[in-house]
Amino acid sequence: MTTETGKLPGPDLRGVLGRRAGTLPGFEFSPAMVEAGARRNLVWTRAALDRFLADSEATVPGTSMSMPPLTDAVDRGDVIDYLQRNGR
Amino acid sequence: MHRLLLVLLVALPVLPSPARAEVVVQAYPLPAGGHPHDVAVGADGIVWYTAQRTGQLGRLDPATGNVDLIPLGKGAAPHGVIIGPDGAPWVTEGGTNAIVRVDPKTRQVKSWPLPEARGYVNLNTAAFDKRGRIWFTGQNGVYGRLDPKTGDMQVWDAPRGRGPYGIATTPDGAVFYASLAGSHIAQVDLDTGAATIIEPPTKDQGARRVWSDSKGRVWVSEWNAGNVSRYDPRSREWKTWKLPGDRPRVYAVYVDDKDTVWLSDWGANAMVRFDPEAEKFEAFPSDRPNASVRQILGRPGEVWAPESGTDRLVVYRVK
Repeated sequence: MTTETGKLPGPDLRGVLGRRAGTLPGFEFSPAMVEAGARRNLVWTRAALDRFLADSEATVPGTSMSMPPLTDAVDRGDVIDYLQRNGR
Repeated sequence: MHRLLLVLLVALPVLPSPARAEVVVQAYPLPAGGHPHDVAVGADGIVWYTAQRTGQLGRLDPATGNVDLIPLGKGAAPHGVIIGPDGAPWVTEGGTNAIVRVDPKTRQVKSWPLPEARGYVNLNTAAFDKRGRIWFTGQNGVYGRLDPKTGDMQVWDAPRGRGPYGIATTPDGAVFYASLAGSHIAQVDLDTGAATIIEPPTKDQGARRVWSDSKGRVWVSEWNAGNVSRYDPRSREWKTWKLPGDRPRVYAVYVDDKDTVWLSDWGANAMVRFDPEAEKFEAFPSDRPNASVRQILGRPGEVWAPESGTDRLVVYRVK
């Protein structure tokens, strides 16, 4: 969630809760992410985000996002709370 | 524990050439769930890799297929690993925000945390200079240097903020890093630590990783643009090549001892070998979907690719 311009490695996460994976206009998602949204019906609910933050490769195989897994459930919850609070 | 070894003989290249070396591919399965991120092979042939998901450093003996796992501590999520001048694996430990050395014989883990005031930097990759100091990048917008002899650690804000990713040292000791979010490369002053930005010719190209050839020219994998580029520090000239295919996305770059350039193209789910003299690309698609090769490193005759998506280390042996 940023006001930076240029091609950033990740999409803008404002409003991500409830969004179908791989659909934000203007960002080039990996084919894996697009497929997850289009064919596997992945929508970024709290539960889905929790799974993704814990293990992005297992949740969306082939995702290009390179992030350390958040193994602590409380940390994941805090991140998701932040996204929800600041998403508008 | 013995692991089943899979050996795949690669078919001849699409454009066969008598001068083109044959490549034999072999895949080593790893303990499941680790999602190997980076790999480093020592002069002794032992291969180290970062099991980012499980917070461990893996050690593969290719002669037997045996894998040992070394825990790196609570909260660990290692990103990069390189072999230091002392022959040990050195890790950019993203979870604990520290530079870590694992003794190859005793397996003892020694950690140099970043200054607390810096906060979490999202440590990425490291490279040693010729003075025995290890330089590292943090994607949250920093780069730094640790002198293991004294324990002195310096961390600097990267010009233009977030983005520092791959980092490499040239044969004459210069250190360059790539900024993925910033779409540029930078050279660091080894004495002052100041970083000088070098703008590539393609805007928003997403410079992800860098590696040097034997002449000190810096090769860059361009994630957004699907290019491989080369910067010559002496002439300050750039040259750029677009990978073939519908939508190449180039994550990792490595230059082997013959100055052949190796790349991982996520668009093609393939390793790609580039001959700079002939300006020809040759693809080696993975035999599994979503291989997700995030880094490449090798030693003479061997190029190693960690497949984070398949939990395997794949070696391309050049005959």
